[in-house]
Amino acid sequence: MANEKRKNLTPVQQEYHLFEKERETKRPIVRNCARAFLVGGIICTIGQAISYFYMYFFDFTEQTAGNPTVATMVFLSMILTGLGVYDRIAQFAGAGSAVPVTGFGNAVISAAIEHRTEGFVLGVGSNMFKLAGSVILFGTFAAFVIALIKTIAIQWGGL
Amino acid sequence: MLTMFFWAFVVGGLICVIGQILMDVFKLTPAHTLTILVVTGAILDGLGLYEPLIDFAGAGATIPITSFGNSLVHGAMQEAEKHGIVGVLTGMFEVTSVGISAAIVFGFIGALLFRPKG
Amino acid sequence: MAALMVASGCAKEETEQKQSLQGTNLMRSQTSGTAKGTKLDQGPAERAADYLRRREDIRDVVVVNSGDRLLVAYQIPHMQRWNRKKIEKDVEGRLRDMFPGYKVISSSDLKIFWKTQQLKTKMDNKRLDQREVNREIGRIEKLSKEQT
Repeated sequence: MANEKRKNLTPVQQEYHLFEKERETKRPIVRNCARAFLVGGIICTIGQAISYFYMYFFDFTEQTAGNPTVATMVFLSMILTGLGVYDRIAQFAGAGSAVPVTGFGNAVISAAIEHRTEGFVLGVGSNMFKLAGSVILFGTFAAFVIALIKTIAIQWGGL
Repeated sequence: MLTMFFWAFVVGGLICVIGQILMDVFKLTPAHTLTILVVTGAILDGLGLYEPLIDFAGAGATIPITSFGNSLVHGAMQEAEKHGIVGVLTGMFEVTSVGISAAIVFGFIGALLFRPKG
Repeated sequence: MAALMVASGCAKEETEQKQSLQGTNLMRSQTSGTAKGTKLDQGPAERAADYLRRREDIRDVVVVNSGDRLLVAYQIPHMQRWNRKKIEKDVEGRLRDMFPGYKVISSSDLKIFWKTQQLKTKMDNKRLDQREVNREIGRIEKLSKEQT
């Protein structure tokens, strides 16, 4: 669409168009990044606090505290998603709320809630991973390939 | 301990900024962005670089989605060390990232508890 | 090796500056070191603590020994945490060489550090006997071996 429009314009107008476009998109990127940094950072700080909580009050080490921390974060994400708060955070934060595991949790959970009217098997079961499926697929497959390469390298290369 | 919070904030925030740049500058969909981050995490762990990042930044490295790739590779490698190449396969089936299983469990519970909003 | 030393040189200033601004020093001031109030012989623990305190890449140290076991918990300055695995390996190796007759358990984990501090304080205050100390050390060792 933009290209067709541009052909009808004079060179000066085209130049202005580019200039305008540059001006328009630049500002939100910086702002979005700042917001993403802030919210993403806060979410990770909360995660750090939770993992210290598990280490302090239960017998978890730095190594083993990761799992319950992630599970707790996803649980919190479920509550916030169910109450409709996470969507509002996401509008503000962009990638800042999408990149942490809470964002992954939100994708799965909101899909599950949304499709419950279609029944638990056909609705929830089959739509849950509509958004998150590609993450799981490529994550698992990449992990498989990398582990395979590394194992072969270790065995034959004697690394 | 406070230093840990500081670096968790900074590193976690920076990973999110990378995600935001992928979305805004390279015009990728969120699904593409997250996929790239997960694969990147897996590659970094394959190169042995993700573990130091976790040591350094704690939750700043374990909370972003990149740690999925890391924990999946880790699980597979643990089995591989015991059983060789066959172990990679069996290891893959044995491990899932907690994030994934937690999302499944809480997703279902969420669907039971909450009603969709209009 | 040289690169490591350069890195530690740069990082040290930074961590020192930061430490003065935050509470980490509060935590370590009274509790780190070895159990001085106990009747049990803490000679090896003293020696291990002395050695570790001299290292640049280690911040806080708590050491407890009992029977043939030597439990060493330490914290790594934050900027050195990138090299955590390397430091852990190095410390473990050095301690093994220093104490050939001992079963060395060493960890840089914060939880293990807290637990060892607790044990040390208990040894100071309650005068635990060797059997109890051994049991505690065993418990901490098991925790330190846990994997995700």
